[in-house]
Amino acid sequence: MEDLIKKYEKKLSGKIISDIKLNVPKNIDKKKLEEIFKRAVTVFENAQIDTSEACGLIASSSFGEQSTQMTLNEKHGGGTSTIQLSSGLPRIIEIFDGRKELSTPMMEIFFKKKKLSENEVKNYAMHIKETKLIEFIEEFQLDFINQVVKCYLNKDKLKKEKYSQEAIAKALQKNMKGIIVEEEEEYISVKKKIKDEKIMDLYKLKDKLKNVFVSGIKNISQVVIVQEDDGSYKILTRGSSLKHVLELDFIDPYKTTTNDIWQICNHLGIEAARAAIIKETDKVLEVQGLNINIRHSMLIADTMSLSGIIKGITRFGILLDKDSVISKASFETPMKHIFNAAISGQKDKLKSVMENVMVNQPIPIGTGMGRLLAKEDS
Amino acid sequence: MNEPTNYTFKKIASIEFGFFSPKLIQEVSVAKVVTPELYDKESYPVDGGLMDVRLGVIDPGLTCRTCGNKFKECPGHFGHIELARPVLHIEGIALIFSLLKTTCHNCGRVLVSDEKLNLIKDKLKEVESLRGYENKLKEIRKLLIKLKTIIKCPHCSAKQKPLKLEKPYTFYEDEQKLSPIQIRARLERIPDKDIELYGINPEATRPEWLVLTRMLIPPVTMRTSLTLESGERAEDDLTHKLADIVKINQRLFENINAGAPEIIIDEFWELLQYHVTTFFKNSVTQIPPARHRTGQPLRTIYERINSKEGRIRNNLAGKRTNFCARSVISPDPMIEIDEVGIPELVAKKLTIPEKVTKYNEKFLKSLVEKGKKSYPGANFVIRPDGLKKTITDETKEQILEEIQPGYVVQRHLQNGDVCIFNRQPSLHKMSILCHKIKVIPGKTFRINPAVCFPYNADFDGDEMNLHIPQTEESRAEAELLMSVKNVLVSPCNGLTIVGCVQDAISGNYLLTKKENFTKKEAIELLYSVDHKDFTKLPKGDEVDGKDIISALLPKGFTFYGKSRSGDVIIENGYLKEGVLDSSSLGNGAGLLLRSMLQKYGEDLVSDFIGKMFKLGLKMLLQSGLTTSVSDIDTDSKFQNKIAKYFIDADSEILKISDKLYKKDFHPTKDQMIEAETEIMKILGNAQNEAMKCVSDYFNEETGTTIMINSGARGSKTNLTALAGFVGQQNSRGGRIKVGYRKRTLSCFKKYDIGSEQGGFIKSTYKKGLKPHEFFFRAITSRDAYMDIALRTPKSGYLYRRLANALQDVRVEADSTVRDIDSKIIQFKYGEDGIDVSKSEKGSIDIKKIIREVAGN
Repeated sequence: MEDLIKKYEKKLSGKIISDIKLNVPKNIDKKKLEEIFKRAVTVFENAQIDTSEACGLIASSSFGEQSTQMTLNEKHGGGTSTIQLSSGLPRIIEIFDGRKELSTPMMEIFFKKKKLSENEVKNYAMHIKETKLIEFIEEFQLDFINQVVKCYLNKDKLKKEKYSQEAIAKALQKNMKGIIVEEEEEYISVKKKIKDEKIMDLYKLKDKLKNVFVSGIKNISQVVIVQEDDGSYKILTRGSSLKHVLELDFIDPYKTTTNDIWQICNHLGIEAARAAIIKETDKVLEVQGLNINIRHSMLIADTMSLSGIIKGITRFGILLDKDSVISKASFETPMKHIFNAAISGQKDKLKSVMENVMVNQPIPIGTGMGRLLAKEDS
Repeated sequence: MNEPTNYTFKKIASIEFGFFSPKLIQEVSVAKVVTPELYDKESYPVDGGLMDVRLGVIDPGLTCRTCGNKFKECPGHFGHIELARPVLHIEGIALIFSLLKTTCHNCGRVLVSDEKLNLIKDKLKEVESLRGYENKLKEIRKLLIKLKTIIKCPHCSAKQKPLKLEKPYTFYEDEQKLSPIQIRARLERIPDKDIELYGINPEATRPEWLVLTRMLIPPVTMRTSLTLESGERAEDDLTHKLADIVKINQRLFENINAGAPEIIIDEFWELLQYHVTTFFKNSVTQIPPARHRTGQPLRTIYERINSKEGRIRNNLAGKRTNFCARSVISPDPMIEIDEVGIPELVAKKLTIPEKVTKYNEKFLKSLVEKGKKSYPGANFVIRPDGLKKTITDETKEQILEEIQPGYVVQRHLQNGDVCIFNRQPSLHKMSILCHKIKVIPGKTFRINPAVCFPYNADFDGDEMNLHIPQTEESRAEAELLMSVKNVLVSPCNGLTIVGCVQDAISGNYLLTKKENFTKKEAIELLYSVDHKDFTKLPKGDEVDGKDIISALLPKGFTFYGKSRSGDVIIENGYLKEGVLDSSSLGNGAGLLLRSMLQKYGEDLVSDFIGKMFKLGLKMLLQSGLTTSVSDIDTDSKFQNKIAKYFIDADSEILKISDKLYKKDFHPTKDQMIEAETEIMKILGNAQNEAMKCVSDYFNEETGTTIMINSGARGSKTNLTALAGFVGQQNSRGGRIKVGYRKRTLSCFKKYDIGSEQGGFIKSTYKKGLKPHEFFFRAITSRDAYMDIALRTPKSGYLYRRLANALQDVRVEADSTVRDIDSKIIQFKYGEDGIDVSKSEKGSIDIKKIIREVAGN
């Protein structure tokens, strides 16, 4: 078996070889095994893609055709009903645009320890969730004479979440600029560094204080604990902050993931981002019940991540990176491209499909690639 | 044969872009335009006017004075105008602004010291070579923002004055207006080595050329005039605009020569600037667009090029063609799947050029003799020297005598000719396929219903286009690459896209199930689908449906698959077990068809599909299939059973409701959401169980259930909606939202959260809906329609972007995937080079191979 594998290793793909290893009956004789390999090679070679096939256009038309069947339904529950994920066509557009701001950022957090009690998980969840001051506040009192806002904290809540008044005061000072925080026995007093005379300003300060970030991880506005079939727990979050979550020591960094491709690109690198694009696209397709082969999303993901960072398929992304002036001009904002080409004296070498269509010449794709090797003027 | 041997083949190798300098304008110009008049009294173009015959001719009968050619032969020639005062080019305003702002007004140098300048230049060069021109522009933009804050010139230490651009084209420095003359003088001073910093190539463009002193006049041939019925001439928008420019320019000259006051000159100058600006671009935001007398804005150069209706996207990237036809399509299951039926009317109009050789001389002569009017005939004859002759009754005899090898006869379409058939929107490559022509009576195009799916066509009035390829190469390519047989499997997901539909599926389903045929009947059935090989039928007189289908299957074909209701076993070319339904024969599935395709090739499979299709129809013709209202009749016991599920669900919901609206208890938002999900769960369960109950109830074989079970048409959900209940109406990911105060419709009580008010429809379509149920159904229906209307343009734009981004990506000979700049995108297509349409959904079925070899 081993030497047969060695013999056919270069002719077959890794998946086929492992498939053969998995499925072949153990007591098979060598002749039959070789026959299997031989047949696999023929089938594999027959299935190879043709040279100069316009695989890019096939990928795009696969998506283009199928995307007319996607729903526009913005949201869909991702495992739980409380966290809604955008799905369908808007999500596909979001992925291919390479947007930095997602409409529904989401994280899936796993834990290192396999066996956790529910309480522990709740504790962790609390640790992750972004908490704002308003959640600890019993009441605000406005002292107009001294221009001070007095924050009375909810003692029960503090105890429950294991926070001290001191810690919150420190967090306040750290996370909001231009204020002086003083800790009193019963309350925390906050005043502005620059004193204002207006009464309205104190109200404004109060409103601002409500939303000051106190603990947890920024941008993660909601956490949901999900128990999986095997009894282990995971946390789904609304909002995403891969960097800060990965810094936590109790999470499993290998399984924890986000749906924000840019965060993956920035913290895990471009290859991870490429994989994320494929995964996210496939997720949408699965929910929509569509069937597009993974090769097509792979090709699109590869094109998007070609330059080392994620580039969206927009007129500011990969479409801008083309060398050909006319090809760019035929997409959007033609005048801009033509003017820029004129002032910099660019040359369009008519390599691309679009220009050759324009000047009625064979396109460099498919049968248009065929050339005759012949001597020029004899 | 005496072919002309002096062909010259020209290929455009590259297109260069640049700016016309005043000097270059002088060189290319054939005429200086001095007068706004167009024609004299005899309506002959005026010399030195905008329609000057030196600029090209658009009237039949005139000759161009530059090239001596006549109308339609003369390509047109450029002229020019000398502007009395220079004006700014509207597209260059942004560049002029940054040039002025970041260069010294005193010495003309860029506000960067020499050493730094070299460093920046090196960096830009590196960026351009590594990351392309557009990234260089980005770098430049970043750089210029920095430069704008520099106050002191590092070269001559002059203090920089604040510069302001009042849009669209007026510059102020220190509150003083800068005239285009001053601007031009400044731009002239900037040395070549400095302008490279702005991404300008000094060999292509000098910045002062952005201030026009001389203007190029486009040739007459690109602004042709129309002659109206009244004999009046309607000039092109560009001519109107040019006339305005020449007029104002003339008056400005006169005023300057007459020594008019500065204010008047400035006014005319401003007007000239306006006209020149709108000549280039008539949609500048800050200035009113120039209009016709009727009030509609002029279409000038920018508008001509830009947008979907502009030159680039409308005329250059998309083209019109001859030799095409368009008509309504209608179905004809009796023609082959790779055929298209066309009316005689079309066949007589469209032609195929066929070269006369000694082998086909007789045949073509007979066509020529038939002439234009009777079918099959021919329309034209082309002599070897290129002269085209129409075949009429008068010329016929002379042509017949004349014809000899080397001539080309444009003959009518005949059966078996190749054509290309297309339905818009052409979303994938299967939207344009090659068919063989079959001329049949009628006035519509006829296609086999089996090929509806790739075109996404139906017969409710759809129209389709037909093209006739005119050269041998194109015909060969069409036949070999884009014939229906070649696209039986979709490259998108590896599923079959041509297969039986509707009646053909239910027919075959019935056939596989029916047992008692006599041999005579079986032979009749097979013969009616054009199958003449009866050797595979069993010897006795008793034949069952499976035997009939086995007769069509290729010998030695083995297949193990699944149908909708069980296994399908085909061994050695005989259908042993199971029924053939939509999961074997239909489109969007078809493992059966695919494994047949792999083993026996596309000819056999397309033949098989065609025969199976007809067989299904013939079977239905014999057995009959009716769907009637009595199919969905239900008894009261069943109705009560269904109702009980919902009553149970309602009582559960009531419990939740009671909990929620206890005395002195105010539910929070979270609790409301929780209750809502709970209710949805309860209703969903009830719905599922009731649905099971419905499908259990309809276990008899009626026309309706046959259609559903075979997958021909309709689904269990449809049946449930007709006979059981319509079910929950969902809008925006939940039940119907509250629209009145605390209730969804005014006929309900406040605080009701029960199933009825949430949009659960308990009635059936057969019985009819209650008024409120009808409202709820209307809500979701409208939502669905809105969804489609909004989705189509969105997905269309996504497709356009994807196609534009990936159109140049191709598989190279070394099996890498690259784009035009030879950047490698993938080392092997899809990591193993497997084509989706040539494999089992993009992978290779090893198990099957092992089974074949090892035999189990």
